[in-house]
Amino acid sequence: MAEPSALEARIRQVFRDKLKLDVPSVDTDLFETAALDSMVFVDLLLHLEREFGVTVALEDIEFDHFRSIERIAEFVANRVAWAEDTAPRRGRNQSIADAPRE
Amino acid sequence: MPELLQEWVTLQAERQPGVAVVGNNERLTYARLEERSNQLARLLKEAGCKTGDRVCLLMPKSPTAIVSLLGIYKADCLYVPLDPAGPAARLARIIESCGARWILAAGPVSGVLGALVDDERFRGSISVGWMGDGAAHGKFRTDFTRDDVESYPSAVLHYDHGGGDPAHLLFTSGSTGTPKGVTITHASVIRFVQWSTKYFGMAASDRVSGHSPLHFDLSIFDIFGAFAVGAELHLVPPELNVLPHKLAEFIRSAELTQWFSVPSVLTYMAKFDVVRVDDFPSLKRLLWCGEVFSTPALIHWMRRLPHVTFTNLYGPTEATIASSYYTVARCPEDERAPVPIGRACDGEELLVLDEGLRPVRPGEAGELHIAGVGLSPGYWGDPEKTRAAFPRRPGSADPGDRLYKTGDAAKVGADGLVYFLGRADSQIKSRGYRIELEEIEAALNALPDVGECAVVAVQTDGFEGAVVCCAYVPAPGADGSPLAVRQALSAALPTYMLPARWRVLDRLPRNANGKIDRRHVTEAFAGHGAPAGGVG
Repeated sequence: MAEPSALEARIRQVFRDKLKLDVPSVDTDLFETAALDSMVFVDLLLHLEREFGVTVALEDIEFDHFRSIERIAEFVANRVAWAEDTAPRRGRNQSIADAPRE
Repeated sequence: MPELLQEWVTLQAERQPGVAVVGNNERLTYARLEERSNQLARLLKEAGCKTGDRVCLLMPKSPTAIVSLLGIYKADCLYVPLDPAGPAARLARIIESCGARWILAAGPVSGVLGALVDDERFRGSISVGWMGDGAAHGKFRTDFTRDDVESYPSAVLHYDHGGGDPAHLLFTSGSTGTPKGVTITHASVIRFVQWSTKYFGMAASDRVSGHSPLHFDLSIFDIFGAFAVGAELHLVPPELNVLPHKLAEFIRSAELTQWFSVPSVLTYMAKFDVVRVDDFPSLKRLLWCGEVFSTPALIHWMRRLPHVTFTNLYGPTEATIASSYYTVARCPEDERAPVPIGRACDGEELLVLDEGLRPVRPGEAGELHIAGVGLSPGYWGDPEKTRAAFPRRPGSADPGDRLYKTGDAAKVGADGLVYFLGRADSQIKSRGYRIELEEIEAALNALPDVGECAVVAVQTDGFEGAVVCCAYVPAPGADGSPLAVRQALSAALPTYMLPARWRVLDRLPRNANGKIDRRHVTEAFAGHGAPAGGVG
């Protein structure tokens, strides 16, 4: 397996520090290991937005984007690149971090 | 009316050519379901399964899982669903407590299955039937595979079991740290299904959701409610629970007529606003059970789906699926008005009693007790807990005339309906899961890294319901970070029981008597100041 990229390492750190979850490897299947449930998922999106400034519209999310840390890193990298060369826009659906919490 | 649950499938297989189960990219007709489960039952009997033996099921929800549980019933054995997400240590305690010698397995369970088979407590006494596609990938021996099942005759079997015999054992969180096995009979399930299919007007044209995991008793209604009327059961993949828009898409594309889940799923979908006005045109009824559905979230749903009937079901596992119901006639106007748990289902009774088991006056709070056809014979192998939870009805000469003490506080309102008021003990509901906080504390106290701990639940207005929070003092010299503690705890408890919020303290707050002050800890997590002695 290739060395985890810097972005993968940072996402793994978010799992460790914010979600108290030690994911064994960047290709661990987060659904199969039941690491990701709805509560962890909402927290994760919030931290990804805070950490990397990516605004995630619900309608853009597919399972495969969150299947492993590798996939999440790809997703975040794409969103960051996309955000840099387009003007901010609001989707029809609100961003996850905007949804009222608690 | 059948005496045994599996007879509904036999009946439908003769009657109609339709589809029984859809899931995992597979569609199984009633005829195939009948044949395959007959084959499996024959194999199990030939392999040495005797009447009344417990057979565990360790596999994700799938048509194969439905075939397997029917095969277990048809071999006159008891079905014991295990959570395929583990952890192995907890599943081993369940297997030990029910004395099962067989596990039917499929899907991505190799790790946990290998650990169970190797567990020294069982000394090689566990046999494995591999029901998955192809060979099992793991370091364990399989006693048969699916190919072997197909070589057996598929005609109907003769059954030793009668309606009063147990059909399954469902394990729930136990306050001493060991899960309790609730014994449920065929007759109890059949009586509930009879009532519910009639009350809801279910028919062969229905397409019902199979949302609950198999180790949760709502799944028994999904399965046998559908099979009793010859409807289609559509198994909802568990990973959809994370993505609310995918859940909505599932209901839309499967054209479901009935949705049944815990309220947290509905609140999660409401929070992300994934249901459109007049969405799900095929949907006729939406049912929930397992915890309180907040009135604002209910209003959200009822405004979007004016064509749907909304029904609250209530009942602990010990009284079989549900014991009371309340159909919400009109969209509530007052967001603070609680939804009642309603009236007893046919053959059941709800009684609000005081500590001496005497009825309280109407409108007064007491403990809710249940009597009638849904009552479990008791906890497997635990007559002491059974006696404590199922007292004889006062004044009754019949030892079979029992009550179940729910531990829920309730009152009867001026409208004659029963209202749930809360819990007196430390049992909580989080996302519909029933959790004893003491079971979590017992698991934490068994970890070398933890000195002392307090586990509390904080109520939120969010979809999660109660959030489990843990404050603890690391053992001297231990790493003791929340990361390490959570990791170690995940080997002992299922994911849904793991605390979501953590605090590391120098010492736990104590009251004047020196007892850990859980109220103080709860308030600290709820945001009303830091707990005394905290270093955060």
